Amino acid sequence: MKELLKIRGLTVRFYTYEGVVRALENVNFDINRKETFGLVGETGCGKTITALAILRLIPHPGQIECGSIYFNADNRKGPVDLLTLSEAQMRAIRGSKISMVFQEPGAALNPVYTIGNQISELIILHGRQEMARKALESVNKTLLKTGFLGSLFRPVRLIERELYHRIAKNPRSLLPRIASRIPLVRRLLWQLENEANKMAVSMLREVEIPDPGRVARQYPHQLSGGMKQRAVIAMALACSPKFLIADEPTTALDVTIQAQILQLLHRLKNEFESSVLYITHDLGVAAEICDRVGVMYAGSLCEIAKVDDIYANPLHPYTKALMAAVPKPGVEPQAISGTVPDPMELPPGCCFHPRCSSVIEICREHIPPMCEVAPGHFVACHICQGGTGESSR
Amino acid sequence: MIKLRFWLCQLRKNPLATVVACLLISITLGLILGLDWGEGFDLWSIVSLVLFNAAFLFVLIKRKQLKFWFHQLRRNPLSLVGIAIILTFIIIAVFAPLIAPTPEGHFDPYQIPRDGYSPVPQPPSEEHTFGTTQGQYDIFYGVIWGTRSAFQVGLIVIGVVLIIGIVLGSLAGYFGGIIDEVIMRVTDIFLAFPTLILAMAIVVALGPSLNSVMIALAAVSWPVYTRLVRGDILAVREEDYVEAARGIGASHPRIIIKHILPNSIYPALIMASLDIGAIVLAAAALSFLGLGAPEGYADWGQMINFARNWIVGPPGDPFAYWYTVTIPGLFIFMFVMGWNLLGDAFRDILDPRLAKR
Amino acid sequence: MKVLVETRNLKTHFAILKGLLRRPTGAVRAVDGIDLAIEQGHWMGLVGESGCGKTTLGKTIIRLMPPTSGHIYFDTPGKIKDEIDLLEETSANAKRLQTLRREYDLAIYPNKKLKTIRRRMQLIHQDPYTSLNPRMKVRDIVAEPLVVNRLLPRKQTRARVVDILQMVGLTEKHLPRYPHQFSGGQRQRIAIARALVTSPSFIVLDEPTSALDVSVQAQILNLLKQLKREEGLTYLYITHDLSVAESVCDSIAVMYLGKIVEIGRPIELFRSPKHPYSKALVMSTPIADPKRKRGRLVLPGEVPSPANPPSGCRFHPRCTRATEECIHTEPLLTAGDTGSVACWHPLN
Repeated sequence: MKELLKIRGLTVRFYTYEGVVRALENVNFDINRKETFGLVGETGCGKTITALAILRLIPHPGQIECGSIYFNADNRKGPVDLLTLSEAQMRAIRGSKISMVFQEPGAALNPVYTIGNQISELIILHGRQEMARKALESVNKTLLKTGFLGSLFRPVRLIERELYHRIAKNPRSLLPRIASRIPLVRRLLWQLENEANKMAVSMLREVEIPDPGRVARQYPHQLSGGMKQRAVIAMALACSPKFLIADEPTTALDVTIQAQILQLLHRLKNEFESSVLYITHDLGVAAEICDRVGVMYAGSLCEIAKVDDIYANPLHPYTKALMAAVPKPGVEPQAISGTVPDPMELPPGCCFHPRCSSVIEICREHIPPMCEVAPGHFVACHICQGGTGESSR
Repeated sequence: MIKLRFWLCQLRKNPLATVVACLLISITLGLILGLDWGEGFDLWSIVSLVLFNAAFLFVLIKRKQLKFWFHQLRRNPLSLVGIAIILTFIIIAVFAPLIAPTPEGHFDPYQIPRDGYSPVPQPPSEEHTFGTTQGQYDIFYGVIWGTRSAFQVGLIVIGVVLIIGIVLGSLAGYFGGIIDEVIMRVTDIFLAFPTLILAMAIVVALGPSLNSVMIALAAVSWPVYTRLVRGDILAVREEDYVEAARGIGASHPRIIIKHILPNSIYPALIMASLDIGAIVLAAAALSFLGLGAPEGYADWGQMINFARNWIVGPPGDPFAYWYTVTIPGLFIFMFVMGWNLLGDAFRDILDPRLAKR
Repeated sequence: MKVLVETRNLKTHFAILKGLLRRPTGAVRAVDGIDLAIEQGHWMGLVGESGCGKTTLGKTIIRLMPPTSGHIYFDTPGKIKDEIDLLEETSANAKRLQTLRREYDLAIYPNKKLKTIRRRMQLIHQDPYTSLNPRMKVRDIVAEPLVVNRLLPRKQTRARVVDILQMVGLTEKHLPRYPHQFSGGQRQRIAIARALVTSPSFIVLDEPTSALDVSVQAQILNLLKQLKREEGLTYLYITHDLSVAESVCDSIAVMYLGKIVEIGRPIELFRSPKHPYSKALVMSTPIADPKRKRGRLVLPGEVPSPANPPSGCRFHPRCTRATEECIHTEPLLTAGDTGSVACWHPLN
């Protein structure tokens, strides 16, 4: 499997008191390596739920009914279905292989810990071995130094070296784990935090935060919105994940700051060679940053295409209506008649049919399958497929 | 007027409910007009029966909403237990004259009837279902009518304290500035004293009786509510719709009553329901110390006061007089626990709705 | 065209109180000397980023916030405004100045007098999810302005409420419902209905569509356009989204750190912005067309704090064309042939 992520038949339902909410219905799409995939849609169409489903963070009373999410991080090991993993295995993946940047930077950061603390916590959690190796190097260097103080602390340093050696060999070895529970002995592992802190500062420098050393010692409330979002991006990229999910990261920011963040994301994506699932409702932002775009409506995908194709030649009526509704200078925005359907009572057949201007009989009865009408351009619409549809991806 | 028509329309839709409602209303009216129901008929019975009818009509009309609340509560079965306990106590209190009828010739139904003057308590028997306590006061009668006293003390104190708390809290929270400072310093003064000690001092100053117990407990509990309401109002004051109301030109009282209070009062109400149990407990404590109801009054704390000398029996049989302590104690315990669970139930119902908003 | 709303040298400062004795040690200069004139029937857009003071300006104009100094005129003849200015400058005849100001200057109106003028100016809030009292029914929410000002007897109130709701696209069966039963777009319509029920002439719209989706935004904008035409309204449309302002406004004022830096027509602003900040805004706004990227003008740095604005021209720390003059002296808003700009070295 050469794609990074393959989602097939994902269906998510919420069982609430008032009824069953169909959040996602049969969602299929792929994300390739080193590509930015934009998931565009309005509020309530299910984009955030898709992201949460990938990370298996769907809140109660939601259930992932069926489907599979194949994630191929490591070409050697082959793809693994994320929906079949245990909670412990998912925890190992979250943050280190797949990480997420949320919409509100203020909400993603814990207000009682410093920025550096939060990033280093993540690094220690997933990169314990790496940190231990670095700590080992610096302890060895200190041991080489002689002198009165050096010889005084020599036994302590030797114990430290032994601990780090064990962690570097096996991050879950028993002795260091016991040691980290005993209050005073725990201090011996301070080098780990030190190394993690240095790494956190270097991550902050990567995201172009001025004076990263000082910022790492600050609390979230002392930073502005743009800086907080950069810090959150630093946290997300700290363990060099192969896949980054960005859920409307710039919606809460100003236009000029948004431009800065988009430029940053673009650069980082290339540097870290990761793929990005960029969720947004802003078509302009999607045009700026994405390579491929998928348009969602009421829990299912309408159209997937390369970014140039979808803006130059939108095929699905919803995509066309969405493009017309965006305010452009000098052009009046065209409203889409009707309202978004209640997710508990989705219309039969194609869920867009009540608002569609070119609806035909078959739209009311059968859900249109997603078909490839041009190379790389998929549409789920009866009209675009000429009434017949070959069921392929 | 329009609302009344609406309610009558609702009743007409459900004939069974209408029949039951008519029955209840006619019983109430009959009582008011003097249907003989034993000597224990008093203002309290009328008021509670009227409230019962009102509650029943409320249930009829808000059926859908109540079904939703029940569903919320089903997640926490203990809250249903709490509701059941309190309902039982309400029934006991309302029908006290039927359950434990006052004997003939007795003046004040709240004075427990005595069967002799011997100081030694008698164990439960045919005549006295729960036995008698020191001075031969009937325990059964005492705890049944004590339910009424408990409700009186709890509801009146909490009612008064809520009103004071809401008024002062809104003034302090909404206007801020010097009014806020003055009110907060006064509450600080009251909060500086340990509550029970201050209550005891007030009761002693006013002379021991159930009324002074109520006054003392009210005086000691109001600062907490004032602070609570003030805090919530500070939060709601900054909301957009309050600013919109100001933009329309609404006056201060209108903004407070129509906009701010309905949105900020729920935490205070939840705390109030939890506190009724605590108030009754404190009243029982004061009565136990002899600072509450007069001797022989039907009040749970008073009965435990009687049992003070009989907690431990003669050397060979220490639990000989268990019924003097355990039975009133059990009633207090169930009452307080019922209100605590009910308070939790309120929180379960009201909080998720707060979250949805 | 008659000028309906005008502000002259309007300032709104929030004092910062520090220390044990709460002494004012400084001020957040949210609105720092704004001269804005809005003509009748005009759709004026006010664009800027967060922290520039546009919301404060909007709320100060309709006196939801008290101004620190300056004048606000609503439907005042030009002669009176000029006379007040003259009297202030020359400090002659203080009594006449006092009388005139008490009569015409909204900035010093006492609360009682404000109540009479509030019916003619209304505000629509940004977030439709919090601007409606969640415990009031829709009919009470929309009828409240009429009830508070005792404008109509009870029966006529209900008729007017139904009228207004139909004007904004809702029906009578929505009356007894609560706000949480409606979607964001519908809630914003209810807020618009509440603003219109007293037949105002001037409405301040504080980012009314930023919390809504694109398609709903288009519906609300079309509704606003229709209402403006039918009722003869004047709008002050506050937004941070330049593309929305460009598509609906008659003229746009760009605000930065409490001062207006440019006023102009949308077409000119988009094609040839004169102030470097306006240019940066125009360049940073993403267009829904991958081929037309607006060019990589990414503005460096962050917006400075309004409590401590830079000296001279406020934009100079982030401006690539700043000179000595820009650091020391503040440029004034000078009117050109196609709008006004406050810059020592305007572009084009």
